[in-house]
Amino acid sequence: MINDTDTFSIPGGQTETGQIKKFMESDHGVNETLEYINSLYEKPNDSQPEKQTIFGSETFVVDPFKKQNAHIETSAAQNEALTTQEMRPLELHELGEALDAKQIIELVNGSTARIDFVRNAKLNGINDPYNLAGNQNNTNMSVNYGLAA
Amino acid sequence: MALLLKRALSLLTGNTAQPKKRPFKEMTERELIELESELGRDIFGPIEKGGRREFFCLDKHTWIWYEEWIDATKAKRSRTTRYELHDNGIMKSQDGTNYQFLDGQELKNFGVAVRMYYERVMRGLYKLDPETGAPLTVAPDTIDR
Repeated sequence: MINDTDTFSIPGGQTETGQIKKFMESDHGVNETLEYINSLYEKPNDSQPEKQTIFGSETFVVDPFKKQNAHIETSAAQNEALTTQEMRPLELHELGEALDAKQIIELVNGSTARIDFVRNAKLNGINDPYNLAGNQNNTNMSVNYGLAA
Repeated sequence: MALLLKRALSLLTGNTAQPKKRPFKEMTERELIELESELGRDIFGPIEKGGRREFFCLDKHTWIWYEEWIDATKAKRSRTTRYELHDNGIMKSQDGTNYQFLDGQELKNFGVAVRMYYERVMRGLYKLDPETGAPLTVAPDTIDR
């Protein structure tokens, strides 16, 4: 049954009954989705070169999916001198804990803008919305929404 | 005549490649949003029997969560939650009332949900790498014998 606490939960301690919270604590919904998303990155045909980040004497391998997250914890590591064990890639559901309110709003804004951008590109029949191929016909659609260089 | 020659040539040379389909080209924005919502609706888990859920990005400033369920008296109920992106925060309203800015855990949960939706639609629907925007690698076609 749905009640007022079943949306994204009401601030002030009522999170326990929120749907997201419940599914995060169970093996359904969010966790399954995370596993699904992570499994996509393990496909050989979809692999990209892994990137290595060197920290002192430690080397961390960062996959493309977690690049942004790893960047966040890189900063955290520099600031707070975290141990090697703590410097693992953050999972998607940990994003909320790692980012402050301003960063979350930026993330939401960025994701929303990209979805809107790609959707409109598809509606206009543009198959390379980010103009990665350098096609001049796509110049108008090649706005960079903060994509990695 | 040209078409006939082209077909004949393709039969002679064995080149029967068909032009690639562009499934999105004929779609309306509404249809694309419906496809996105199919990927977004179960981010929060399974939908209860008799219920319905839609969760989607309406435009670059708006997200919609529609939930429909059967209450204890067997009556059908629904709620539409709207999230508007503003420079100073994310405004939430339910059924057109109760405007408030998201904060705390609710804001974090919304951020995670948006990120998951983004990952899903970019990969599952638009076939783009969510990190780079590059088209996902497609396995080469195989020949049926």
